[in-house]
Amino acid sequence: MRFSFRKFSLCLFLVAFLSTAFLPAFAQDEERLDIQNALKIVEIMENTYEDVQDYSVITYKQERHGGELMAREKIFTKFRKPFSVYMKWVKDDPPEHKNPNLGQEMIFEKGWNNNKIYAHLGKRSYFPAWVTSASSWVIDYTALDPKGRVATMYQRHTIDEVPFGETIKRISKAVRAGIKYPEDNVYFTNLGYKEVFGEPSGCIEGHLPGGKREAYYDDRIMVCIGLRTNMPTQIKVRNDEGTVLENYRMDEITLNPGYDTEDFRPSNSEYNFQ
Amino acid sequence: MNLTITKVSVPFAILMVVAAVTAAPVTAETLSYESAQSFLDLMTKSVKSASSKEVTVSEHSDEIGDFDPNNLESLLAFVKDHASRTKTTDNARIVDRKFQMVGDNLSLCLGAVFPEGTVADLTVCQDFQTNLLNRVIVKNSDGAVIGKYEIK
Repeated sequence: MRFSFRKFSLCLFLVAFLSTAFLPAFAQDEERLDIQNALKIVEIMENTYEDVQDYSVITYKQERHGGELMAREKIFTKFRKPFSVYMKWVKDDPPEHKNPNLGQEMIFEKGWNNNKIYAHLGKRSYFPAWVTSASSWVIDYTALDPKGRVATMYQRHTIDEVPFGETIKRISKAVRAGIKYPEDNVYFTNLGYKEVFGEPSGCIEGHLPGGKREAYYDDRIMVCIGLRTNMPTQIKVRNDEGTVLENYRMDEITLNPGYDTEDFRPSNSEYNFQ
Repeated sequence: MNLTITKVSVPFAILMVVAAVTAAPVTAETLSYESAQSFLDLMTKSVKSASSKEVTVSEHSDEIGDFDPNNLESLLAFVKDHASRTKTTDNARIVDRKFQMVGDNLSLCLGAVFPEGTVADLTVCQDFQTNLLNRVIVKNSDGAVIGKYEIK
């Protein structure tokens, strides 16, 4: 075998050139969405939500606490403006998803029950049954401080951050801050079409400087908005390393079903507060 | 065989490039017809209840097919027919064309790609707020636009 350094070098150059010249052209680039179009998405949600008086939704919730992604929770929620919430932890899809707080119910209404949460625990929780049972001797679950330790344990959001309106506000703040402060280099990727539990949705992902301003909730926030309802169908929050911190998926969104006061009272015969 | 570095390296270099190209992901994500069905259903519902059904035709070639390009329902039927053909045509697929602006309206778009026939590529957009079909673009196998229709 004849060896020529010149030919060897030429061949190496050919390999390097072809690799760098062609690979980028075929790589899947992240398609960016003009931030003004991200604002249009926000405005569509805001305009739609203005005409919503009440709604129901099933939320599949997963959050990371202490470095661990917790078990998925499936929660049925009723909400009525200005601020009445009923939540029930309902049966998920066993055996993979057993809903750790199955059966738990809570009601919160601003101006009722001294602005305290009225709740009862479910059959299961993160603690053994005897602990949750004994805890009711010392904790009054019918008068929980919404921002207190019990109500916020293993929660990344307080009850007043949960409704669609508050979620839309957080997204709106981030987008508007990104426009106001171009030096923050906020950008959105155009993720396009996705079905979330069969709900046709359009998705974008915000890339934000998480700690820089209060307006930026975290580093990467994916939002999917339903084509049918113009409401969020998925929110996934990640840190700058790509680790999932929160993942909420919304199913069976019903806008303006027409709730009344009784839907937000423990005396409702369909609830299990007694 | 008189092996030289050149005889080994050049084919190897070409192989590397071919491998890189074939391993690279396709730019437009492929969707199943079933997942596009809900997109089409919403559009159909919106077209049925649309108050204005005027179609602006910028480009139309008769070879595209027998439908009335000025009629919104006819245009929708053309779109749905081609969408369903992706189920039965080998190597035809539905693709995500993502968010696009159609005039001043933010819209969500899907596409269909066909390996044969006059219609090689179809892009369909719906207004994100109203779900109304608002743009259809048809291209032939050369990539030339042979049909362009917009609804305002």
